[in-house]
Amino acid sequence: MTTFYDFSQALTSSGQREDSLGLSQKNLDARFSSVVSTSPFRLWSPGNPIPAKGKRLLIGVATWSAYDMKLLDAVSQALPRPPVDLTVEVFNVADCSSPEAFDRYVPDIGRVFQTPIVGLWSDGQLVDKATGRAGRELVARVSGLDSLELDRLLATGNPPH
Amino acid sequence: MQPAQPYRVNLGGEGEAAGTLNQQGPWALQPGWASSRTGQTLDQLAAAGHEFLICDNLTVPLPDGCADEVLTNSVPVDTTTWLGPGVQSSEIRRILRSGGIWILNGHPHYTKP
Repeated sequence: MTTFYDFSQALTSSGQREDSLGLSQKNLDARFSSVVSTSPFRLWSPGNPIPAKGKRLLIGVATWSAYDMKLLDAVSQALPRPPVDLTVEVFNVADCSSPEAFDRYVPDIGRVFQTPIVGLWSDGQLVDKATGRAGRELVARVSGLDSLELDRLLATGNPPH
Repeated sequence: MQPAQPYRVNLGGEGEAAGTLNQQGPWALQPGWASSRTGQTLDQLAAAGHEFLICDNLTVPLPDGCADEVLTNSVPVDTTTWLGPGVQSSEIRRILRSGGIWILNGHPHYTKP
């Protein structure tokens, strides 16, 4: 299985050519659904059903964000096989061309400045939502990841600040 | 005499870099914005000593060839998002000095001839 992070590294290898990053970005977005299909997650679009029973976690990610891609890999590894009482669905924020578009994924999410965009449903009802750092913390809480350990993992390979 | 510090520009993304000019879009001035890495507000980050440049991504108000390093970390480059145009590689190439380096997601990506 290709990890989400490995998949996203096509961006960093595009080198010295002018405009190569924009093209690489388009290619990544076009391939996102196929990478999701090899993961424990399901790609979700507005209009698709929401499970009426159990917990459902929806995570909106950006393929240009190494942090988001590492987050999906961490959740993938943390989930039991098969997932028990938890459905994890994902979407690509490239499908949202305006701030209002996020409401179709997570109702009343408010102003979105950063990814991930996260909603948690229980028995078909939206019970929690968050974006950016708070969104990562919500994902960690639901999927049983240690928040501090996740911070360390996400920062691996990124510049020291 | 100590050598001059390299002039580094961080064009948004995950976390603010110390000793670096940190650019953010105008949305960073809106209520509710917080650092995606630490959750700190812009005021809190400034109080902690981080220096900011607030501007859109299309035209970075810095002179040609001024930067020794440009950092981009998990940001959209040469693409448009719900917030508008992302970081422009043409601007990165413009503000880098000859020999300056663009660090993309922690890895050297481009050296300006």
